[in-house]
Amino acid sequence: MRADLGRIRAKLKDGAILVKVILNHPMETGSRKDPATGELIPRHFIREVVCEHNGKPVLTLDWGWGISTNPFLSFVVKQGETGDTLTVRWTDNQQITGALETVVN
Amino acid sequence: MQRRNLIKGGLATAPWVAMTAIGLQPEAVMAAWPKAAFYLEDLSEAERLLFADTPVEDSDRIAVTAPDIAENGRVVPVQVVIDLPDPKTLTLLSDGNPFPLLARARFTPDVEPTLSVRVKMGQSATLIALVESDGRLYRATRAVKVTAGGCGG
Repeated sequence: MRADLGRIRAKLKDGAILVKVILNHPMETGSRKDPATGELIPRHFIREVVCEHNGKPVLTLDWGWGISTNPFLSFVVKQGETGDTLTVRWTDNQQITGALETVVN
Repeated sequence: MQRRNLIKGGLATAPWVAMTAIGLQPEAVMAAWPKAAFYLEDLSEAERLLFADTPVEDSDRIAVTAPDIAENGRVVPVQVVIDLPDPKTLTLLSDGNPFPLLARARFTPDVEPTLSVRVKMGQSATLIALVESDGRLYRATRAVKVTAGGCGG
């Protein structure tokens, strides 16, 4: 797991799992100019995020470039326990993929 | 199968295009990132593409939380909490962005039907949350005043 992909934290609370994620990504809108060259910076954004609980997809997000740079995301898995694995996988519009994973402790 | 779903959902009189609306599509198609909708620059066209002619009801069982005034339009925290039975999808749009569609969440019963994200808002605008629940479409809105836009740069 590369640290520069972002951060994921999962906390057990009353039998549910609260997951908080920050994904490191520029989320370029395509309408921003490079201050040095004056050229448009190409649109580059995470398109799809799949959140998994013990390998099973439980939440899918479709994003556009209107999502902020280094996107924040949180969600609650209704039932979980210590030792469960939470995984967040993403794919961007340049077909670059990333994944963050953590275990509930 | 498709037709039966339509009738069950009370949409039997909707035109054929209703069947292409997200949520009424087969699972495999629905799983795809809705490219065309993200690229539309007109809010009502984007809504129409996603939901066809499905009637929309305003609902106080969708809570959209965002700051009244956002000093930085590049990072506007938004939380949507849904208190409707069996919500399938949540679609978040802004009527002030060059491309109104911001995000869509597809829920399973394993997660709480909430969404917390941070979005870019180019100007003061209204955020629109549309939720598909029990074969119907519900809406809630939230106005946000933006003092420094988030789309140029």
